[in-house]
Amino acid sequence: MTKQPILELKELNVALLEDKIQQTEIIKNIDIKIPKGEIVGIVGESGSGKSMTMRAIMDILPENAQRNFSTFTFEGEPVSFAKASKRLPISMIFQDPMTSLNPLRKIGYHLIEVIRRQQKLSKKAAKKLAIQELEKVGLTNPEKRMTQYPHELSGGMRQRVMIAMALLVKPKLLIADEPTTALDVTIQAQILTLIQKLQKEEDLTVVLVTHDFGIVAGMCQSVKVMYQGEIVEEGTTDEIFYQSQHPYTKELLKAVPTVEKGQRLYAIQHQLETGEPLTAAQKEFRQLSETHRVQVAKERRA
Amino acid sequence: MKKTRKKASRILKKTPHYWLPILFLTFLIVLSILAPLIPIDPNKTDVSHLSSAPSLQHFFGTDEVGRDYFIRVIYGGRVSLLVGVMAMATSTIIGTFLGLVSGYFGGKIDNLLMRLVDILSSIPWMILIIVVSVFLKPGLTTIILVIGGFSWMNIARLIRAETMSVKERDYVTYATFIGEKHRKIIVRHILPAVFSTLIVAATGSISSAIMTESSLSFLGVGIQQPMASWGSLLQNAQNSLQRAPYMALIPGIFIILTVYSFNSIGNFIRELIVTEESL
Amino acid sequence: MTTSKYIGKRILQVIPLLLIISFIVFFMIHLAPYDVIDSITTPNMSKETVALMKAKYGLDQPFIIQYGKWLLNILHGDFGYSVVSQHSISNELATRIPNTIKLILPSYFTALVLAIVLGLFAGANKGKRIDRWIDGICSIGISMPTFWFAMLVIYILGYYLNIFPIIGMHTIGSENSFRDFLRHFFMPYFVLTVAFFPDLTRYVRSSTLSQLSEDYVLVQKSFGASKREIFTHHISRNVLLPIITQIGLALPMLVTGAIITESIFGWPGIGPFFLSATKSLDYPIIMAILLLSATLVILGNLLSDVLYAIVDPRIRKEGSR
Ligand SMILES: Nc1ncnc2c1ncn2[C@@H]1O[C@H](COP(=O)(O)OP(=O)(O)OP(=O)(O)O)[C@@H](O)[C@H]1O
Ligand SMILES: [Mg+2]
Repeated sequence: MTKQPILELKELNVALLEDKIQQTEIIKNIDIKIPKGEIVGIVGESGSGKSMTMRAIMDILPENAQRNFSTFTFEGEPVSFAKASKRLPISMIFQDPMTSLNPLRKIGYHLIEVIRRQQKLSKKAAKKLAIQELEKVGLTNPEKRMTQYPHELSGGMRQRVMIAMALLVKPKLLIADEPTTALDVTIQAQILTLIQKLQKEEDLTVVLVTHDFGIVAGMCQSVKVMYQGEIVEEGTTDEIFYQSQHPYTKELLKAVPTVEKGQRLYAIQHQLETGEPLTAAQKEFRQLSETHRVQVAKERRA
Repeated sequence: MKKTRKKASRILKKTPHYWLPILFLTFLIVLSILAPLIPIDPNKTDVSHLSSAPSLQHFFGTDEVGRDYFIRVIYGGRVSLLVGVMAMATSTIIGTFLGLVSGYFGGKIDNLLMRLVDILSSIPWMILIIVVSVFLKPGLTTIILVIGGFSWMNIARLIRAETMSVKERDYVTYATFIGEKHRKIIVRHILPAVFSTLIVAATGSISSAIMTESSLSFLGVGIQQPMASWGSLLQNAQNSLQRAPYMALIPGIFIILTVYSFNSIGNFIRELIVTEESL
Repeated sequence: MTTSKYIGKRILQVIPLLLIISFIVFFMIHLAPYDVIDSITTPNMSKETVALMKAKYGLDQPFIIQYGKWLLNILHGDFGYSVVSQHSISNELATRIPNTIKLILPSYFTALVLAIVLGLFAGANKGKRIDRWIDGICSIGISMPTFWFAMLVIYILGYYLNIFPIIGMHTIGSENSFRDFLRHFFMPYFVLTVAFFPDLTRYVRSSTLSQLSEDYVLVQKSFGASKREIFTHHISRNVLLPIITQIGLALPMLVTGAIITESIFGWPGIGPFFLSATKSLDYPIIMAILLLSATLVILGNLLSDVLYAIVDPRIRKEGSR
């Protein structure tokens, strides 16, 4: 597989300034390559930095965050985050559809705002487009939905609205940050099927952040495992499931059968702390196949 | 305790502007306590200097009968601070007691007390306090009781809410289960848990008590002659505003600095307690 | 629950509270050491004459009947008579309340507009120098006694620069001159605006900050909305809606919001009327104002809830869920 990556990011660092003196590193020198046309899963326990990585890509980090990277290319073109530069065709949907929409604005307002920001369309034309999009994401009665407020819709319906909004900016890459964690199990499956369907129809690349290896197995072609602000292992889904090397990945996988589908992996008790934590200089990647690599401790040279 | 001190110095390092109110209040309190040691007689009239502007001889000038204004402002501050602190103590005690009782026992008592709070809070405080103070003989004790006695409602609400949530905690349920006396449960378990809320509310109420006192005294229903507070000094200054504006300016600046300082220290304490709890 | 049902329920809750307060107020008048009779009778009148007088005013009847009649009168807008001047309190209120409103309404409105602008601006620039300045000014404003500021303004603008008249609402003889009114109006208006805006600004600032931390703001950012768009299309609306509740809460201020300021500037509103009544222990007036202000507080709370229910779609559409 030698696909051209849609997105490539090297040596990404994110640190949060706690106050004038202190800062904490939350993303430590990671490299990310997202192959075009795939659904890429990102797994890792809570707080491992999955969302922060996504926010760094979207350029929506918190105000007290500092980000730097050595290279960032999108479809081969270098990316700059300078003010005047054009927006990347990436959109993101978030974990909690209940709070993702402004409670005091109608669904229609949200959609039309997104459309008109990108295209010079009349209100009427934009409205028509919005209704079409709502239909596409499987919302019944789209005309009525347009005039409703977010609180009048169920969580699943709102997440569909979010997906419609995300698609309206005609993205090439869709980032879904735990899009179903806040939803009922049955709704989860519907939303995931929708994402899968849209990915094929719209020729999208999808990054799917999740806690659920079941979802990864069902949807993703490749997986990245994050642990404490680093990507500790990555590979195709098969490689990760059957030939995982990193103890943390193994630990995560071990938890899968005992954990009901959809439940979070918070409870994992990993025994990784073998003595002192390794510094960046003591770690390196071992390439196991073209797609599979794992972080290991540097062998000491005598 | 040691941890608190460490945290305090960390906050001070991070936001050094908290030093200003701390230093100002320390200075003011020391000055108030030591006021009698200052060799100026607050009632001695200097007939050669009537309403004279601030000078080296009289720091803050003199008033219309020739009394030294500096020492009068210091003595006024004593009264204002005293009223502030005592009224705070009164309202905190009433508010805490009623809030604890209301939140702990619930039911009819709670209902009754909360209606009382509703009624008292539906009369603008200014009207309420003026009305009550005309029924009573004006003076230091009256004003403390009036301000304290009619500003406890907020504290009571806060403490009640807090008590109701603390009541549900396991150790309280357990204490009830093993049959500890209500009074003991309240004093041993609930009071300590609501203590931080209490402190924050109490600090805030000092500044509002000082503010209220100055308004009442300014209106002539507060502190009475020959005693003076900053408010009554201002009332007096109103009459000679054109001739001696400094008499109005100085006590007002003291009120602003004092109220500002208590408010800041309230924020400081809140920060201290909040970060303490989250760690 | 639909909105109208909700409003109905809230009104039902308010009525007993109002009754209790009116009862307490009447009880206090009753307890007062002297009443209307004492003020119109003289010690050398015969017992019979006094009794006749009492009967005329209905004071010989049982307490509860007197209360009923008093309440009925009040519902008809009749607050009784001053024990000092014998004037009708209702008439007096009817001329004074509009004067107070003339002063409060413009100042509150100015303060509100100022607060919205400054609060949103400070919130948008959280932690920056401009925010710290606005916050600092508000802190000082909150710590500053209004009457002190009034004195300062009188000294500077009235005495020192001698631009504005110091007392009253009109110069005698030019009651119909609007220019003259404005000249009298400016100083108390300015003082009240300065008195009102710090609290309001803080309120707007803190609700701006809490809106900024909402998820939907992050979502909007991820869709490439500029800070300006997020503020004009989303945050300002979400911040302004709850301010409507503040307006309800400010209702009682229309009567009692400027007691001290009015009396410093000799503005012929409720303030000086109330203060002189307290000095002469004119109970009926004191109680009338007490009752009036308490009623306005309760109605203001009601109004604020109702407005909120009308304006916020989350409550408004509750019935249709
Ligand atoms: N808004 C924020 N401000 C400060 N720190 C944050 C913020 N959000 C997250 N963090 C910190 O950044 C680190 C990474 O968090 P992140 O949200 O990326 O984790 P995550 O892997 O997405 O977890 P989850 O599965 O719970 O969503 C965590 O240590 C967290 O404490
Ligand atoms: Mg996350």
